[in-house]
Amino acid sequence: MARLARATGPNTVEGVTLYLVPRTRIWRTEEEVAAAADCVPAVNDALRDHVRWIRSYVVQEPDGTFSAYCLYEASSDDVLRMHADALRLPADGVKPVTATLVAAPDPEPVRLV
Amino acid sequence: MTRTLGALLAERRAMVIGRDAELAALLGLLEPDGPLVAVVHGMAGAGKSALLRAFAGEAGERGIRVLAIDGRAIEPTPEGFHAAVPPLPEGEAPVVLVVDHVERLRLLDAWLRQSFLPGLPAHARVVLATRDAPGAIWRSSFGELLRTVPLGPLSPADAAEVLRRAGLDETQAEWVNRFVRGHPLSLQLAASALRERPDAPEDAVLPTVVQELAALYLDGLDPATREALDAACVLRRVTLSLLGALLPGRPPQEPFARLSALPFVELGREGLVVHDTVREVVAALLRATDPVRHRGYRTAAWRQIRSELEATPGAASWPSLADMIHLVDEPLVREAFFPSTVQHYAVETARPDDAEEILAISARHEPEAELKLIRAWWENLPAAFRVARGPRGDVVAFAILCELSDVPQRLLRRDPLCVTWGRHLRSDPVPRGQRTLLARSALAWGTGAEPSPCFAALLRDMERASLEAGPALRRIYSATHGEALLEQLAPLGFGLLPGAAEVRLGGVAYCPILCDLGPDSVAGWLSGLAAHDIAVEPTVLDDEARELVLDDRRVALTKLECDVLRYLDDRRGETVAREALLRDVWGYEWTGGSNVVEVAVSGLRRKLGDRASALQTVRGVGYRLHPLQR
Repeated sequence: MARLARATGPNTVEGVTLYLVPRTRIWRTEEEVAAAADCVPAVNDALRDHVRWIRSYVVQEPDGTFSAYCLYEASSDDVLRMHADALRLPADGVKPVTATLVAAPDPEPVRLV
Repeated sequence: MTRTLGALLAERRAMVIGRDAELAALLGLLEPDGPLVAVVHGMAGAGKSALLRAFAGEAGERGIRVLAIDGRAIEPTPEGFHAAVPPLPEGEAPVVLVVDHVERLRLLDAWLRQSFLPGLPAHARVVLATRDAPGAIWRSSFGELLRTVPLGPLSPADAAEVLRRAGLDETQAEWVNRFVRGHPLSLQLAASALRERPDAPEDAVLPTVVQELAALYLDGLDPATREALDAACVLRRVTLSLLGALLPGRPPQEPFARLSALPFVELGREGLVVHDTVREVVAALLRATDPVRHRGYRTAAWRQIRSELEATPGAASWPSLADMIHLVDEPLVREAFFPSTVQHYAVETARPDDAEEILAISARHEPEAELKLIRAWWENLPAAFRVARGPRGDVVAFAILCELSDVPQRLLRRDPLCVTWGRHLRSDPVPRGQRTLLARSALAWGTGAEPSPCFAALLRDMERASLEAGPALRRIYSATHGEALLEQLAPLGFGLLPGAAEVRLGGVAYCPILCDLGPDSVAGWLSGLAAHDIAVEPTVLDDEARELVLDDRRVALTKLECDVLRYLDDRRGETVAREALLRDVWGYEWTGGSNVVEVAVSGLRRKLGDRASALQTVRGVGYRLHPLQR
């Protein structure tokens, strides 16, 4: 059964908020996805006191491009905009997570070949 | 009846089983409206070379001239590539250039794409074989004129046919292919192993098939062949001289012949080449199970390569230099020439329209004063800018790297960092004929000078350019603010510029840094790096200890001998007048009636032992010091 972690308000732990950042059709090829994934740890490291990347789900759109839905803990949405700028990964928006519904842990990650 | 060459060609082609579609795709190049460039890609052992041979055979039968070259034997520079490619014949008749092992030429990626291929005559077609699929930048550059030919595993039926031809029965073939799953090199190794050891365990659990198969095959080798293979696998290429150095108790022709007979060893232009996968497995096994022997082979290889490098000056020394780099464990050096992974970032000389992105990167990380200087560099010396591009071609990082002599005087005077470097050069000049590089700046968009993949790509490029600067390169000046850049460069020998104050630009402190390669230039510098993990000491004159380190031994010198040797070493290869020695070392202003120089030189020669001839007397003038390495 799904578990409701927090009923209302942003999902905040000690001044850190959980954010979902959708990025629609930002990559044209798998190679671009791989290059971005390659760069993420360095940028995360540079902002380690302010942002923690939790995970991203990458999906392929019907037109062949790739979108991502990224989950972060961050000290503010401004920091996440800085993070997006450093990665050159435009975001559709930076949305604080109101509630986390967990039915089961994530399965084994799907990796790029 | 004697077989014809045609029959042999047909046999050779028939050996490429299960690749009909791929062969047909390549033959499309020969059609009037076909693509101009084809890239065959697949993992190690996928059968790329066999496919290229089959294609060359078929094209040759159609009367088309094929020029085949091997990327493993090519110096990864434009000059090296041109030297390896024979001139394409003039006229209208089609000609195909086939380049195998292009993964060894990753450093030439941008040059091949931007300069070499577009500059070929219209009747030329090109086939490249490499491990990685061509990046998006290749597809966008060539569009429909590029055909990519991926090589996957063979189908079960084709794999069974390969094994049947290798002499395995149906049961054996089925067992082998159950875990080999159509990987051509594994099929070949498995067939060899099974023929030699029909009792091999069938219940083996094989997490990494090729490695396990290689081990299985290696277990079946006789001790003499195995020893030769162990030695060969620490090398980039296997020559008689190197085998002689690594296996001194055996005439080198004997292990050479044993290695030649192995199914995963080929005779290349530079010697024998062990298949990469097998070489890596064997070297890793040896390092883990017998580290002393592994180290011993590398040390012996190092000494032999070093002596060959001394004997072949100039461009001809590339094979030896590449062999040395292969033995160095410092990742930044080795990866600069032999990248082990797919490079997401193409590094190339900046184009005029890159200015905006370069300045935007600078503005993101640097104060206004530094930004103005970067702009001045761009206006005065755009050719010094190197950029790393992401898959879409956007500039993600840039660096400024050039010869000191290329920088206009007005820029040298305007840039405070250049002023500091110049001051150091005046107080500690580089001997005549030796060269100085400036690595003025390096920044990535997202992370500045912090470690990141695109920044690492830039550093590798700078490293490669420095090594390419040739045997006369002596010094590289750079600067850092913060510790990030220096931490990345320190393993290469960079350190703070002695006695230099920091330079403040827009309130930010920049520390000048320096890498002095020493009088032996690149070879000596590589020796220093290798000394970290190989049991060799670089040849150095230790002024403080008054010792000469030569062939791993330390020779004690008197202060006078040390000063004389330092003076001559700083002018290596030049004739030094006896009067100059007297004046600058002894402080004498007169020249007559003294034999002090002869006495000191004589003492030095005694201590140099079998290297005494390196200190040459130039009759009637003075002395000349040649390299002390054997």
